[in-house]
Amino acid sequence: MTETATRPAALGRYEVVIGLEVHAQLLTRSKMFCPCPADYINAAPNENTCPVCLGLPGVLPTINEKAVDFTVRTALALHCDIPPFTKFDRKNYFYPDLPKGYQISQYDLPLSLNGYLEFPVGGEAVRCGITRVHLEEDTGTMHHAGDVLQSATSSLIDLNRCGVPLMEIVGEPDLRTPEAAREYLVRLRQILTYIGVNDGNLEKGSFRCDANISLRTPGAQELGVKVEVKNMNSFRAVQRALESEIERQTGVLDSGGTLVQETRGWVEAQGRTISQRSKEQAHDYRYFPEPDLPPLRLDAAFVERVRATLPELPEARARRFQEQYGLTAYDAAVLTDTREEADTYEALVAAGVPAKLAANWQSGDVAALANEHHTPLQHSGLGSDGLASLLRLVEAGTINGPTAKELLAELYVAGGNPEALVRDRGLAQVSDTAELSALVDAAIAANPAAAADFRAGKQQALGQLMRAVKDATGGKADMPLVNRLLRDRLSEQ
Amino acid sequence: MTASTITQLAAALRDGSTTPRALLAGAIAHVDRTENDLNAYLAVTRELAEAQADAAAHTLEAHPETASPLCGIPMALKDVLCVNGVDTTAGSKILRGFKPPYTGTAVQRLFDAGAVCVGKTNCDEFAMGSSTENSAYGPVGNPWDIERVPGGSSGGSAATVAAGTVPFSLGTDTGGSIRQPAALTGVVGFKPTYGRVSRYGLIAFASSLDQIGPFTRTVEDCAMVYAAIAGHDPRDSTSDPRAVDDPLASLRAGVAGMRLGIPREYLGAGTEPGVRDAVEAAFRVLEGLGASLQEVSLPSTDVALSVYYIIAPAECSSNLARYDGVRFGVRVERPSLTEMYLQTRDAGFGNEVKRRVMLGTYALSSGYYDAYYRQAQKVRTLVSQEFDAVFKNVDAIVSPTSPSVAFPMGSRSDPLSMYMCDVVTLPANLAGTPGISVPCGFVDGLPVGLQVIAPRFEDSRVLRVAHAYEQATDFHAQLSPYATVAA
Amino acid sequence: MLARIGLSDAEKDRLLGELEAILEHIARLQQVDTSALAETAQVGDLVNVMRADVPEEPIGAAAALRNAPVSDGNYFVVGAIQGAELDG
Ligand SMILES: [Mg+2]
Ligand SMILES: [Zn+2]
Repeated sequence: MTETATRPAALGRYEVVIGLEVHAQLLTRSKMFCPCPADYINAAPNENTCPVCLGLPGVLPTINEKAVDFTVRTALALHCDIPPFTKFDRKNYFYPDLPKGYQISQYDLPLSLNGYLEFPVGGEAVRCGITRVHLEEDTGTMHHAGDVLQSATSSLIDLNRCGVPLMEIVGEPDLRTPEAAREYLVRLRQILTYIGVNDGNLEKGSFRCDANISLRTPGAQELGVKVEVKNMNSFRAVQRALESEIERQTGVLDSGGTLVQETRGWVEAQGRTISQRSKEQAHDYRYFPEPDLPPLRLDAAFVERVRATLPELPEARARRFQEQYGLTAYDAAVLTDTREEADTYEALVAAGVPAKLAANWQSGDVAALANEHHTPLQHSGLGSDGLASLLRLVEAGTINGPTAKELLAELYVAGGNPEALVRDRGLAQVSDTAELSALVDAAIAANPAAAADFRAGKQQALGQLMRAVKDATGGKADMPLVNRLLRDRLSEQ
Repeated sequence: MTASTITQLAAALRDGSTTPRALLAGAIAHVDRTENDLNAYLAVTRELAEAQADAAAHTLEAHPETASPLCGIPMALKDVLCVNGVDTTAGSKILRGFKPPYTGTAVQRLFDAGAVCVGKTNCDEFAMGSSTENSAYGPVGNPWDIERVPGGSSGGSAATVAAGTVPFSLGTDTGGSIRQPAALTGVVGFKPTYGRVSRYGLIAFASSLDQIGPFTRTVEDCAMVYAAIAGHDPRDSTSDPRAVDDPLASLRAGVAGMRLGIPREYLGAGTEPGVRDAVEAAFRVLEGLGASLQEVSLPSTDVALSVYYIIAPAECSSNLARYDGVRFGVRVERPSLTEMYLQTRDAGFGNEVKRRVMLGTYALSSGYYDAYYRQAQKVRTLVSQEFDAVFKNVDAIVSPTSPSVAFPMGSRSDPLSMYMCDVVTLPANLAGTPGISVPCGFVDGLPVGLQVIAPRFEDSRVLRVAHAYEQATDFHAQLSPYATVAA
Repeated sequence: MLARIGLSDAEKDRLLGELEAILEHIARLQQVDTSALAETAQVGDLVNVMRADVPEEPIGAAAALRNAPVSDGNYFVVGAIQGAELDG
C-alpha cells in the first residue's frame, strides 16, 4: 500500500476504506481477439460478430497489438512497472453474455503493476496506489424482456460488444472518503482520455467503476468486512452510493450487528444499495494460462517506444501553463481539463494571441458558448484559427470588447472570417483621439446635469456620458480611451 | 481404384484413365458397400464433393502441370474439422445440426489444392477416446475385423483409408488419436510438430496438445498431404512462422548412419508379445538399412500419463464450456437459465466427456490447482527435457505405436484401461514433437504399427525414417478385407 | 457445480467412483520432485504474436444467428435469469 493522505470520514467513529476497480474500453478499431469492428453501439444487434467472438467451435483468438500498446501507455501514465513477461489467462464462468464460457483476461502476471495516481482533494494531496492495469475482453450485452429482471420471461443477447478490448485498472484501498473516490475517477478518466485510449463515457459504459468499501475503527490495521458496490454509472452515483453505503454500514456496526461480505448494487431511483450476491455464492473462476495465446515479452525498447507516444499529462501541463504563460493555478487547471482544450489554448498563443487574453476568452465566453451549443470550439463554425484571428483584432485594438463578444457568438454558430467581417461591416473600433474628443464635448454639452453631478463627485454619473459617446459611434468607440478623455475634459475648469 | 495411393491416382488423373467425378463416384459407391459394417462416416458430402470434383477437373485440364498432386483426389475429414455450411458434430449429440459459417485453415488448404471432400468421419465424442466407441453416433468397425475397434479417437478417418475408400483423410491427435488408430488399422498416420498445422477450425479438445494430421496408405502420400496443410497461419497464434522444409526433398535419403533410440519404457510390461515381436523385427530391418540402434531411457513415461490426464481434461473443461445451448447446437429448454445449462449439457454430453470435464474442473478448482494442474505443468517440462536429452544422442526414437493390437469392442469398459492405450503416444503430444505410425506387421491378422518420433520441427526426418522402413517391407501394401470388396 | 452438468444421483455416484480411481492413479504425479522445474503452459518458444488493429468485415447477424436454438431474428434468446444467477 502506498502512503496516503487521509481525511476524516463523514462519520468519524469509523475509518472508511475505499478501493476502486475501473473497466475502461480501449479505443481500438477492431476487437481484442478478433478483427470485428469494435464499434458496438452503432451496429444492429449481433451485426459486428464473427466465429471468434461468437465463441463458435474451432476458433482461436489473436491479440490486437494496439490494445497492448494502449494498456502499456496507460500503465506508464499511471507510473506503473511493466514486467518483462506477461500472459493471458482464462477466467471460467457461465453466463449467456460470455460465449466461450471463459473470459480471456490476465491473472498472476498482468501487463503492469504498482503505480499510483496523485490528485488534490479539498486542497490536500491524495495519492492512491494502482495495484495493476491488465487487459481483457468485454462481454456481450443482455436485454431483459419484461419490466424488471426478476419478472422477465426471457433475455435477449447481443454479442456486438463481446470481445471489445477492456482494460481493468485496480486501485489500492487508499481512498478515505466518497469525495476522494469521485475525484480519483475524475482524474483517472481525464488521463485516459488525454492519452487517447478511452472516451470516458460513464453513461454508455465505456468507463465503468466498481467500488470496494469497508469500515474499521480508526488506527486498526486489518480491513473490515468488504462490500463490493456495482451499477454506478455517473461520478455523482459513485459518490452517493458510497455515502449511502457508509451510512448503512455504520448503522449495522452501531447497532451491534455484523456486516457480511457481499456484492451490492446501487439503485439510483431508490438512492440505496441492495444485496446481489453473498460471499458463499462467490465464484471459483479456475484461472489457468490461455493455451491458445503465446505469452508476451515486452522488452525495454517496446516500452520506450510506447513511452515516446505519451503526450504531456494534464498535471504536468497545468504546471507548465502556470510557468510559461503566467496563468493562475485555477486558469491552468481549467485550460488543461481536456487535451483538446489545452491544445486549443496553445494554438491560440502560438497564433499570436497574448497568453492572458487567450486564457480569459477561452475559459470565459468560449466555454459558455461551447456549453450552450453542446459543441466544442474545434467543431464550431469559428474553430480555433477563427478565434485566434478574432482575438488578434481585440489585441490590436481594431475592435472593442463588446463587438468581439457579439462577433464571437455569431461566428461560433455561422462561421466566417472575422477580419473580413469587421472590414465589410465597418465594425472597427473608433479610437481616433480628435474624433472622440469632439464626441466627448458633444456628450457633455448634451448632458449638462450628468456633467455637473460628476464634477460634484458622483462617479457613477460618468456612465451616462460614456453611453452617449458609445451610442454616437454605433458601439464602436474605444471605451477605455473615451473614459480617459471624459475624465480629462471634466476635470478641466 | 479402391485402395490406390494418391500418387497412383494423380498419375491416372493426368493420363486420362480416370476423372475426379469417376473417383468420387467410386469412393461413394465404396462407402455405400461398406458403411453398414464400418459406420466410418457421419455424413457424406455429395453436393460439396461434386462441385469440388468439377472444379478439380477444370484445373487439371487447364493446368495439368502445376495442379497439386491432391487435385481431384477424394478424401475424408474427421468430424471435428469445420467446413462452411456442412454439418459438424464432433461425434457429439450436443452439436447435432451445427453448420459452421466458416472453413478451418488446414481444410481450406486441401480445398485450395483441389482435394474432393467425400464426407465427415466418425470419431470419439470431442476426440476423447482411444476406440471410437465414445461417438454419440455409434462405434466404428475395424476393417480388419469389424468386431474390433479401429482405435481412436480418429477411428473413422483411419477406417476409411484402411477400407480403401479414400487414399487419405485428416484426423487429429491429442494423445495419440492419429497414430494409435493408424496402427490398429494398418495405415500410415502422422502427427506433425505442434504448431506446424494450424488448429483454426479444429474443434478444440485440449488446445496445447491438439494437432491435425493425415492418414494415408504410404509415407510418400503422407508427406504430400502434410506439405499441403503445414505452414504458418495468422489465425492461429500458436502456429509457428518458421518456413516448412519440403518433406519430399529428403524423403528418399534413407537411414544409413542414423542413430535411432529405443526407449526402454516404451516396451514395458503392458506390451503384447506379438506387438513386441513385430516391432523388434522392424528394428532389425532398420539396422539392416544402416541405422544404428541403441536403447535410451525416458524415465517419466509412466508419470506422463498422469500429466496428460490432468492437462487434457483441464483444458477440455474450459474448451467445452461454450456448449451451453445458447448460440448453436442442441438445447434442452427449461424455464430457468441454470436448469437449461444443466439439462442441455447432461443430455448433450456422453459419459467420457462428462468424466473429463469433471476431472478437469476439479484439477483447476481452487485448493487443487497447485497439486494437480500446476504440478502437471511442471512435470510436463520434465517430459520435454527428457526428450531433449535423448535427442542429444539419437536422431529419432522408434517404438511400438500401441502396446496392443485392435481389441474387441466393449472389452475396455474401465476408463483407466482405455487410457493405457496412449501410454507411448501421448508423451510426444506433451513435448510437441512429431510422430508417425507406419505398418510393421500383423498379429493374428491384426495390424501392428511402428512409431517414429523426432525432435520438434524435424517432421521431414520422421517421414524419412518411416519411408525407408516402409520401402524395405510390404506390410503397408496388405489390404484389409474391406479394401478388396469387389464393386 | 462448476462444470454445469446436471447429473442424476445414480450417474453422479458412478462418475464419482470412476473419478476417484483415476485420481488415485494419477496421484503418482505428486511424488515427482518439481522444485527445480518451470511450468509448461504450452510447448514452443513463441512470444509476442500479435495482429495489427485493422478491422475486417464481420459475418453479420443473419449468419451469427443461423445456428441458434432460439432467436428472434435479432438476438439470441434464453430463458429468464433468476436473481441468484445474476452476474455469473
Ligand atoms: Mg475484469
Ligand atoms: Zn469477431
